Amino acid sequence: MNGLLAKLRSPWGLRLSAWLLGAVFLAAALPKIADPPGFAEALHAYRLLPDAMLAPLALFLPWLELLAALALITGLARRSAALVALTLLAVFMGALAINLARGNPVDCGCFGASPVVRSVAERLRGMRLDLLRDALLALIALPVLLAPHRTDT
Amino acid sequence: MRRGWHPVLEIPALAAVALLCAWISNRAASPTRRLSWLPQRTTLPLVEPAPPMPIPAPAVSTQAATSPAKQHLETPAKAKQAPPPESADWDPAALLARYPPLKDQPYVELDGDEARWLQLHGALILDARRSEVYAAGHILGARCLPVWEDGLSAKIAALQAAKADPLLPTIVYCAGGDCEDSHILAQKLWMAGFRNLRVYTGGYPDWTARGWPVSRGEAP
Repeated sequence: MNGLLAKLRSPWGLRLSAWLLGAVFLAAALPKIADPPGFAEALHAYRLLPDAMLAPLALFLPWLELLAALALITGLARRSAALVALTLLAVFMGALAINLARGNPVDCGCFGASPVVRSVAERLRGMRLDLLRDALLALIALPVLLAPHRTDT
Repeated sequence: MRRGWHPVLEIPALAAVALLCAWISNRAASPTRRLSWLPQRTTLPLVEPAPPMPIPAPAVSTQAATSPAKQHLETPAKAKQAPPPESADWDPAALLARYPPLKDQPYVELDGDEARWLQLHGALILDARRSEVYAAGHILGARCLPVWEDGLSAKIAALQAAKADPLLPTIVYCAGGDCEDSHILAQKLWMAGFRNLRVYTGGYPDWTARGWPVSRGEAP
């Protein structure tokens, strides 16, 4: 475990972590940027936000993800991007956890609107997997955030 | 390039650029992929819902003459003024007799058989799903009012301009299951003065499962 941590915190480990995180955020941002109404609908299903906030957030959030992804990949403002990514992941996990606790089956909407209609059980299982994925991504983001700046490319 | 870390500068800068990009890309987006930043107003055109539109008498009489023939399906416009020109037996009296305007609630839920009866008698049908989904297949005669896309207020205003009678039963549907779009649209229509809204909860999947007529493309 210590060996793995050391590898993650090595310059190349950090670089790879940032690239992986950036790639995931890029993949998440693009379909949502292409279809904001679909993302607004997904956000509505979470039942956490007032209606007036759905459209602005559906427009803004994917671009924030995209820019954080680009920053992580290029290394420009990498630690700040990691902080943004980590904050977003924490918010996503909170939203998923609240709805899991409520038993409200939502389509994650993480990578754009779901193309197929899924059953309640499928969606609840999907939410648990999404939660697990977000936790893993947060673990990857943490060393990038905490790394000193000399590791920048 | 840099020494140290400046999150206080970098994060707001990131957010500001994101906001700018979002604004530009939203302006450039096609109408079906656009959102309005501020809540859209769907207010009543009048304080009270408009009085029932005078029913175009000739349309009713010609319908009465042709209706026993029962050749309704897929017949194009017959009466230009009637709100649902594509529908079969445009019979507002029958519609009102069976489905009077609602007094204390925005909408009532409806099952497939009732929706079919209303469709056959020429009730206005509104599809709350996305435009693309509508184009892929919708209830014959339904109009496209995607609740999540920009321009919904304009579409509701257009309905009112086309003299859709707010007191006649109007069906709203979406994708069935736990799809909420039809309820959201019904709420907005109620705000706009519609007083006889019926949410077809089974929605499009129920309709197609029963083999009832559908239409593809952008026309109702």
